[in-house]
Amino acid sequence: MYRYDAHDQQLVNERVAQFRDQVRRRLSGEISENEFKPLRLQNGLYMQLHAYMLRVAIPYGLLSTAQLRALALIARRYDRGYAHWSTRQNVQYNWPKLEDVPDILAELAAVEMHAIQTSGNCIRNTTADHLAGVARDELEDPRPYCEIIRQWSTFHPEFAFLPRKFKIAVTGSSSDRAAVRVHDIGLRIVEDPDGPGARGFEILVGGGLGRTPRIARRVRDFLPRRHLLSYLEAILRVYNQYGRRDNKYKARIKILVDALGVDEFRRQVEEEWEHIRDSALELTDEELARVSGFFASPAYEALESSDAMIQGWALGSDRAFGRWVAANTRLHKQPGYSVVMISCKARGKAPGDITADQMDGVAEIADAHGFGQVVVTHEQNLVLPDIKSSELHAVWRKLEALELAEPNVGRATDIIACPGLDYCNLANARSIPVAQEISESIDDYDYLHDLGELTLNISGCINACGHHHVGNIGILGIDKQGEEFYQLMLGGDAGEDAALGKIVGPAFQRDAIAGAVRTVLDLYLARRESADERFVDYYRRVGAKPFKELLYARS
Amino acid sequence: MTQQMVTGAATADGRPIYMKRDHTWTDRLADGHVTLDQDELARMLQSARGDEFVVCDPYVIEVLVDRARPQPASLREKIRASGGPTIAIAS
Amino acid sequence: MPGADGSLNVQVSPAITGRSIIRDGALVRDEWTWIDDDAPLPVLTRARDVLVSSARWRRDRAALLTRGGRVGVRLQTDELAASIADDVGHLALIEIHVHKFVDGRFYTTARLLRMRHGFTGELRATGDVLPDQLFFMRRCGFDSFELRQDKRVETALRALESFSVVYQGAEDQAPLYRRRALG
Ligand code: SF4
Repeated sequence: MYRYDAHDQQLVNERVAQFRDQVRRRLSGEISENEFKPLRLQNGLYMQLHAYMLRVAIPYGLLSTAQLRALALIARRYDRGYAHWSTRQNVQYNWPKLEDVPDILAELAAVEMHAIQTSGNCIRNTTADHLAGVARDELEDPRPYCEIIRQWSTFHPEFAFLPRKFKIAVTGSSSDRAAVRVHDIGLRIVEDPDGPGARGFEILVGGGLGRTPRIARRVRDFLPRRHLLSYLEAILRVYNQYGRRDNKYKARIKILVDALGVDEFRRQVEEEWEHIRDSALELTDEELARVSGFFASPAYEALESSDAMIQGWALGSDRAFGRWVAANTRLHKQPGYSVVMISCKARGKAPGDITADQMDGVAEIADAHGFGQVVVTHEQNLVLPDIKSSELHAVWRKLEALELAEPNVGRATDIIACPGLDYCNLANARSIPVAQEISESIDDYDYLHDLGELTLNISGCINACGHHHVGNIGILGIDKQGEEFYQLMLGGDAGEDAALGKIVGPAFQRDAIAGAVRTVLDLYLARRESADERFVDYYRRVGAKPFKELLYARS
Repeated sequence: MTQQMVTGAATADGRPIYMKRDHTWTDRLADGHVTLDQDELARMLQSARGDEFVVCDPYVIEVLVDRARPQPASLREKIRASGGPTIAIAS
Repeated sequence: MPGADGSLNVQVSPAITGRSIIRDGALVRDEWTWIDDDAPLPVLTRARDVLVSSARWRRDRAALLTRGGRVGVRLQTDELAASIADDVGHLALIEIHVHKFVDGRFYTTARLLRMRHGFTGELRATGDVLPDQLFFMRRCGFDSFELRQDKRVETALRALESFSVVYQGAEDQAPLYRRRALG
């Protein structure tokens, strides 16, 4: 993984000093809360319902075990012993004191981490495929580009006060696990259609969720990789000048793309780009090589393929282990190795929460059985990217002891849920208790297994931090005269066939939503063509009608 | 009946605090000053806004007073006043 | 304010003083005189260097150019670089009035004036100019700043030195990856 040199380290150290000074000025009255707010937000410090919340950046989700242990230490020393993985592959602490935050940042800086630009109207943490570097269907590892984007966007002086927040995601695989089509900019690494072997990017702009969900539109089929930063800079420059600033709900770049039309938007970007494409922004081969070097594959042992063995376990007589293998491991590009998905969605627990002890436990496993790396997914789970398949059983046992072996990754109870009204200042309704109730209602592992691949996403308000529009089943909390209600959406998909879910009908009361989800699941199981027809495929085939009829039969 | 009080987040740690009759602050909603008088509320809010050392983003909430004990009207304020999330914290 | 006097050898009449600006890491007295849109242009002995709105500039361009002194134009936040691009060669000062510091359009305006339109005069920020944004402003090509009245100059001067390392290229430096390559 990327390691800081003296420059990188100096920068985060100076950031700690700067924020310490800003906090001191806030507490001495030199700056008002209104002036402090954008400063603290650019450092990931929010005000929530019960306390401040600090969001720490995990660039493209990648952590060393030293970093993971530092996150555990912070949770114990400065918080309440736990943390929360966010849907942008970041980590959130729910109870920091303002005066402690500079010290927390210093702890982070000591392990090459920071909280820079994890909030505010600026370029946020660039996310990537969580199987980057190990996926079988990967054309090229996206992380070097993410790191290059991270450095370019960190304290970019021109783009610190954009009309609205700005999110970039990169994938190098054919299956899209990074949801690039619902980002402000989505980058897909592709082959040059004209030149053999040369790689570059397909550029998608203006995707996003929230109040006006949009699937991104293609602005360029192919951009040679050396032009990555100049092209990003051209897009951001057009947006910074012409994005709306009069209404925060119309300020995202998707609205600008809507207003101009994709062709005119493209024309403006290309015109700007022509001016700067051959400037110092052009990436050098040395820099590409330098950064890529950090992401070289670890020293794998030469092993036989373990695919057949894994298949055997998945179907084998040890059902507990078999279920876990089937749901929580992924095929690795390297023969004899597996990718382990760690579920942070234990039944009845808050999705994405993890205790300090669990973090330490995961770090121990990654050191003992992997190469000391852990990845955070945007589904709020963790990945151990390089586990020898022969050690899967031992890893599973350790994860069980940590209560991190729920066999549900990619299944109905692997629920993405935002913090909702239990923590969030903007929420209309709670998300976590709904997630808990749904996961408790699916108490039979055979039933869960039978349901197969399915995403279920919950947001506590229209801001859509829980990505409800792109869940196969999406739930949105709303407020009706002071009461919590939940809209149910079906058919969303965050992947390469990205689609926005459609509301099935009138919203459900708090005590009826889990039952409604169960009705939807039962109907799908009863009527699907075969076990190969995934929930989303079934929905695409039959539409909302049968669900509607059953859900609203009595009314 | 519905009355009102002034609340905000403590500058030091963001915990919910409530304004008392003398314009100082308390952690306990039950000890906050409840009023119907709009002029008094405006004065409270103005005083709160000038008190940034102690409180961030003060605002007015509705409370229901039942046998002299104020209860927040909205679910949001009930959850705030309860001191934490409605679900068990990971441990 | 301390240290405000004597930093410049320009003779400033008391009637037209008032502005202190940060330039080259110090607080100095401003030598420019703002002329309201409907006020007559002053004689040269009263005010040598005059600052006008972009509307006034367009209206009185000939008179401004022939009166002898230097000319500066003040842009509002919503006047983007293209609006003055053709005129930058005539101007010794472009001042951008920051309406609200969170409206960051002016950062792009500044960069484009410098890199695209070749403006080499003084580029100044006034209005809602706060210490914590000065570092970014300078990187975008600003070289003088009128701090918002209630802000402390010492804080501003300190904030200008917040970072000794920058990653990306801007108006001051090439990208770090081009400098890293040099050792
Ligand atoms: S979706 Fe709404 S409730 Fe949920 S975290 Fe985002 S802003 Fe808060």
